[in-house]
Amino acid sequence: MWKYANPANFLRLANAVIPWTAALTVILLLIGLYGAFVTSPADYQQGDSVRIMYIHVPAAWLSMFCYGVMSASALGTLVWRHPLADAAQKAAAPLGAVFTLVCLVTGSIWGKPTWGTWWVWDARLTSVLVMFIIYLGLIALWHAIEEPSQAGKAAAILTLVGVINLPIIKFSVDWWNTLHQPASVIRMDGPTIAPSMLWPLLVMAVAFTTLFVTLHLMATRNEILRRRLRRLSIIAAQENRSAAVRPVAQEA
Amino acid sequence: MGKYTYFVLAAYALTGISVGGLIAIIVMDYRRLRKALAKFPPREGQDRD
Repeated sequence: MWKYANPANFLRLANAVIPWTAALTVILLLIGLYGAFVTSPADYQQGDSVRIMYIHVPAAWLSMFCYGVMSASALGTLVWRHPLADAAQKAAAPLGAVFTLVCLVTGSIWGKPTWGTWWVWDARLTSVLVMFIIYLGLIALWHAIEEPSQAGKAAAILTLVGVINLPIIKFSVDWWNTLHQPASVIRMDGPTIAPSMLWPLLVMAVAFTTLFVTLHLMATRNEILRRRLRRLSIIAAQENRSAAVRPVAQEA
Repeated sequence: MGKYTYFVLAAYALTGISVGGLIAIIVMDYRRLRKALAKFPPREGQDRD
């Protein structure tokens, strides 16, 4: 892992891996969408609106997975001082925000025909909304502090404080009476969902995960290039300033 | 599909727009950064990537 702490090594790895993960994502999405719209049946109660599940649930999983990646990166920044950890963390925040937004919006669209309302302030929905706000807060924090290492440390602390929200999201449906249904896939006694609906859901979940890996590699690569550009701009500005000062000094 | 067609289409369309927009922003950012970095001459021993 420390081998890829070198940005040049990471860039080489990312350039090699991105086309493969992108291709895998496209293939998995096509298989998953075929399963979601062609082979899986409509629900006997919800009708075709159940097909929203194939994007809503993977987006929800990914929004939490992305926060987990950010938390691991935050530990990498604060504990191990890994040189790429804060770049990886900064790159993950907008991805997490978008997937959380997709989760909230598709959940709202699914909620209208199923529950008869677009939104309720129940524990699951509210805790996911809190996670979305934390993502926005982290993005704002990075933009508010100019020095990347200082911004990385501040964001890492805020990220670790926000980790408390992850078990609240996961167990909110068990701890409180909520309109949101309890877990039906990741359960101690096995999934309660029909196999004809389960396999497209799992394929879509893997597709969303490979999509996240692809986008995260791309965004981290951008962050490394942004820092390299910043460093080169500062060096160039210093060289220009010394070149401008030199003739004045010679005249004196 | 049945009476919920518009709900399903809206959910998939909004997801496509959101993720597509995210991909477009990341790709455009990458191109802009590469263009800006190309203005600096490579230093000795530096890997341009």
